[in-house]
Amino acid sequence: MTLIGGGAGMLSELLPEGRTAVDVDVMEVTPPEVFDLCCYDAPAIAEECGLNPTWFDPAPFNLRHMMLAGWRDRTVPIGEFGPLGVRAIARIDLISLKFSAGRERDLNDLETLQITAAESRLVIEQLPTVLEHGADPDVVERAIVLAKAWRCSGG
Amino acid sequence: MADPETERALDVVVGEWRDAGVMYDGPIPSARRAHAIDVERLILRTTRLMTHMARLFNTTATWLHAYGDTVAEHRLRRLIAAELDPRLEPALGALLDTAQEKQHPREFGSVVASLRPAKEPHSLFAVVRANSRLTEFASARTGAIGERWRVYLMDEPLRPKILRPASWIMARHPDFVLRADFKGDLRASVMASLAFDEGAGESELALAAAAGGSRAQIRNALDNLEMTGRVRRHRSKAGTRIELLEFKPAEARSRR
Repeated sequence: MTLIGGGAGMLSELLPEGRTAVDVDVMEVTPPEVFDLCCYDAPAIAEECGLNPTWFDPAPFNLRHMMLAGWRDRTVPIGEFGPLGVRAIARIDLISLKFSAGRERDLNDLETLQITAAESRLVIEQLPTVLEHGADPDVVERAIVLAKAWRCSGG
Repeated sequence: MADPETERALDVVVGEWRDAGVMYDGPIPSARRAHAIDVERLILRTTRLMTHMARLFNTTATWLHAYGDTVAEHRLRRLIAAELDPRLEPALGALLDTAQEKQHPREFGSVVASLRPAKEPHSLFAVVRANSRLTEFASARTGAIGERWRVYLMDEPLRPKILRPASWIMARHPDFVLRADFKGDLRASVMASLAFDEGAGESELALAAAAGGSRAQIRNALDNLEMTGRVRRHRSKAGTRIELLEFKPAEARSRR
């Protein structure tokens, strides 16, 4: 299972503990039939665990066309829970998605991540390639505008 | 990053929201005893601090949308007038409007009516204000609520998935059950003032000042609360002292 979003950032220790609203944004579960099983069973354990029935969010699957090439190879391990291996997207992919989302809380996270000039340059260079996967051109353009506007900690 | 004092204040506010059912990561609240939450002052403290932590805006709006019935509106209006910097009224207005968007009737209508939009447009968040190009970016993406309050604010859907279910929250905070039963009417303000406002129970006049109602309204509310065993009035020559009987918080914490 591969996580994205603030939860992934917190679990991979890229974002600080204590300030991230924990939701489980799931990008991918392999094999795919297990993804279906997770979606089906997740609400059933919500009450028992004191969670909202919508705690398991498979919607980020629809963001896969926004991912930079090679993102699967860059994922980092979070832990093994019985037969379940949990991974989080890598720092550069988290940064790229934060630029793409571009909400104020993403700007806060980008500030916390203290991204370097090299990282923002890489995102600016790589983001146009996601257009080949069917990404929304407006979203990509806006993300690039934001990345260029960003004060890079590396100068 | 904010200064250390602000960081500590943020930790406290985030901890209280975690206790109220927002799933910020950290210690599981059920593992320790709940303390009573002064919901109205928590809203004001959040309004002051969310400039440093944009995530607080959406999580708080989401919580208020789901559990707004627990907010004592008379008392909130009174605290806004007494304790909130008027420059933060646009921020609170945008927060409450976001919470009540698409609600009929609007839950915080009477509170929002007492707030004013900003004189000069600006972003609510320090990270945006610190960078003119980010300010331009936020300005271009400001939605209807931001325009209403003359603040740069990007529309973002509420996210119910980051909340604990009502059963978890009400089991942890029995006083919220009473607040929700009253649906924010003056009885909720009376109970909250008796729990959190120093000296509010000394007289009906003091209670009226703390809870935000007229003396006649407070008497009516007290009649009802006394009849149902929530408060007791002790009458003497010196006046009427009011005692909170039900849901007296064990660790009431009042922060200004």
